[in-house]
Amino acid sequence: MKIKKLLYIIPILILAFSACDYIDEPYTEGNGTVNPTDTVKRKILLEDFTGHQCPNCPAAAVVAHQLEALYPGQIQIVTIHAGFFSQMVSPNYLIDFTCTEGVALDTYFGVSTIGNPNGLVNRKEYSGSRVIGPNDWPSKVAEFLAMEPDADINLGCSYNDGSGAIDLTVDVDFFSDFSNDIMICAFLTEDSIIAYQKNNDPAVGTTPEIANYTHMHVLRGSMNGTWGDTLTTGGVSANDSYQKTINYSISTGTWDTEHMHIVVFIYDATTLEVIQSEEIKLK
Amino acid sequence: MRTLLSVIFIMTFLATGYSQDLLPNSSIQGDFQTDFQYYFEDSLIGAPNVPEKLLSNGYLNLLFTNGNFNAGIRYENYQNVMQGFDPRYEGSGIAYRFAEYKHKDFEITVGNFYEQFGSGMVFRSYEERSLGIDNSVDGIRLKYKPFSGVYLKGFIGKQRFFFDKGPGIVRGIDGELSLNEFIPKLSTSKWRYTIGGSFVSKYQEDKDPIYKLPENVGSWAGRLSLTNGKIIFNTEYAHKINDPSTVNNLIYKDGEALLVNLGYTVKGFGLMLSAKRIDNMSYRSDRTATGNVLMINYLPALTNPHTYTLEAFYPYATQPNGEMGFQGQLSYKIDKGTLLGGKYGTYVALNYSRASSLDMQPINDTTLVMAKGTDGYTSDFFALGDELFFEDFNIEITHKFSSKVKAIGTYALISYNSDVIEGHTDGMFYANVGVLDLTYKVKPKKAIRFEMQHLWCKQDEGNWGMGMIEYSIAPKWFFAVLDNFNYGNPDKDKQLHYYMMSFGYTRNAGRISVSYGKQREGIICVGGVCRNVPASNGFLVSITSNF
Repeated sequence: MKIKKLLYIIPILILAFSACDYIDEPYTEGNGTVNPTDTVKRKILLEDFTGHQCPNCPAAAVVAHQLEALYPGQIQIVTIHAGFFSQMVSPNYLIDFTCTEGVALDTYFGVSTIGNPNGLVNRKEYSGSRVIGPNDWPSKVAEFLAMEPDADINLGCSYNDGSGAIDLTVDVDFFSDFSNDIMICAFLTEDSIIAYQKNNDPAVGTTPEIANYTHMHVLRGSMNGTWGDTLTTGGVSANDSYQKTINYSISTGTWDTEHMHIVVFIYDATTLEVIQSEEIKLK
Repeated sequence: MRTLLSVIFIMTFLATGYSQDLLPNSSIQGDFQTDFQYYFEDSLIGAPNVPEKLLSNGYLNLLFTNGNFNAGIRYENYQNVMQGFDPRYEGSGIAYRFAEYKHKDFEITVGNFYEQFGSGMVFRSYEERSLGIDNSVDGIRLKYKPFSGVYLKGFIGKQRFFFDKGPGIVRGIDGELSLNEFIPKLSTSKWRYTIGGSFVSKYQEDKDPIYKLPENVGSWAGRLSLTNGKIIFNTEYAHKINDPSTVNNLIYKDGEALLVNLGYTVKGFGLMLSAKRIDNMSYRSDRTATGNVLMINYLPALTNPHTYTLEAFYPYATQPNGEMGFQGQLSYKIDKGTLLGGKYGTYVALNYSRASSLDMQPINDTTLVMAKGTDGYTSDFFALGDELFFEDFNIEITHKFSSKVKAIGTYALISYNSDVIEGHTDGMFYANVGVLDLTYKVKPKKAIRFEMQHLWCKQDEGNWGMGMIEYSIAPKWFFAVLDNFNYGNPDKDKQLHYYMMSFGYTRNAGRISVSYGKQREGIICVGGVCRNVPASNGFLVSITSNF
């Protein structure tokens, strides 16, 4: 009788042990289908919250750049230095990579209190949180890129070397309806800043710090505030088009304008989710 | 909120006079806890500006029982989340609700539940409120006892993720056989024999465009326990298949863990020896999760959980990616009436624990250890690595001098690898900590207690001194004043005092405590799981009640 009862358990055990997926090498995907050929592509805003004293952050930057390489032109990375790991500490960490807008975003989304590195992918909320770990960025980005674009952004920029004045023109064409107000934001980023960075991943560089780390996509500020301007109120319909001009002046000599970009994105004012993004070199 | 009020109303109705005729023998029990803190910005100690000024965490448990049927809820309120807890808790709602029915040897639970298989190395869902941990499973659990001494459990569900659920499905079965119950001849044996085994699997979709990730990750464990009145021996081995995750840097190596405990206890003497090997055993229902969320398993710490403030400055957090740990504990009572025992006897407790790295070797000449998207490393099961993570040797002596005076003296030598434990790059900290705790009973119910502590450290924040006076009127009142002084901080501007004043009042099943002062930034750990506590300056009020 006991043996008979135990026999009932065997199918459960077989079922349970079959719930395993062993993966054989190579562990990487072929990625033969990731480049859609449509004229307009969905573009993703990836905000990487980091700090020069964050030892795990260089590995996260590698993930962001892997995605940039995998989906050329479709990932706009903004690296935001904020929180504990962005503090300036003598003698090697005396460059202030933070900016008012970056700190405000970090405070609002609560990223550094959860921990660095972490990021936002199009500021979309998943399971009640918008904060996404670096190893989840590829999945979330792939999910977005599998969808048709909802809008297209075209940018034109002129920069006056003498005065530091920037004239940015933005054309937005919508392909989908949105019922809420739409906001537009223009961030200034700077690349190729060589400085110290803490690091604990020997695959990325020397540990415990990299003396000549190349800081990329560093958020330097916004041309129209942390949350941008209203592009339109009361929603939009597919085929609606909007134009916007944004003017801004930077203090000449503060940043290396040869290595600066403007990242522009539009987002739903209610859900905060980014609809489309685009990037243009300052010069 | 309306849902909550409805649930409370229904449960109250069921358990009160109106329902007595309908549901005799029903009862309702509960407990309530709220902590709220008023924050002042303090740039000297690094306490940030808190825009809300006042933050609060609150919890209410209600449990309804009627015969074989139980049902319960927990309402939680974080408005907003107190500093040091994960801000993703923000909000309020019913975070836990369940219904349970028992019939003879069968038990079914639907909704949320906590459960543990063996020592928890393949599955443990639990709540540790002080750390902000709640990985309860929301699903179905069955328990069945087919024969005497045979205990089976099975479950399926998703884990709590703040006020939502994680993306992965977790399912598991566990069987335990008590040989003393199963085999009648052994029922009178002094030895108790128990064997058990578990299997747990998680499912999470693979959407990663870069790596091929396993969607189903299984783990299994086997365990054995032998005890009699004096000797206790238990061991568990766990194995997990490839589970690339954020915690293990996306390596595909299998994981395994072994835990062994051996103890011997007689009156006045106790010895416990424990050892463990943990190799790539982080196991979560979201492979990208970090911090204290969505943990499927629990990896026990083999270190002494210090209670005195300065001894607890440098606590150890279990390293799921790999560690070898050992702990020995010896307790001995020196008989009363002897030179060292005095009139009441003297208790001596010695404890030594050590955790170090695994011996990790590269898988080939061209691949770094722990390189992403590889098999990670190879490791000899019994070989120790070179890197020390943590070491603690401590002694505690408790002696009662008279019916009025009792003293506890402790000394701890701690080595703490901040790079590994905190993920920083500040290197090793070596701390010596001495504590003297004196209690003087003024009257049978009134006592005054003095704590004097000192921490010597040449790294980190340097030396600390601490003094505390506490006056208690049992069982209702206590008053305390303390000061932690970081007089040895290498930065003279940070040689600061951290004062704290507090009092508490207990009445029946209710308790309120109020404290005001400064708290340094630090880490608190429970069972090897830790959270960072930011510096703060302000009032803290805690209220608890059972009913």
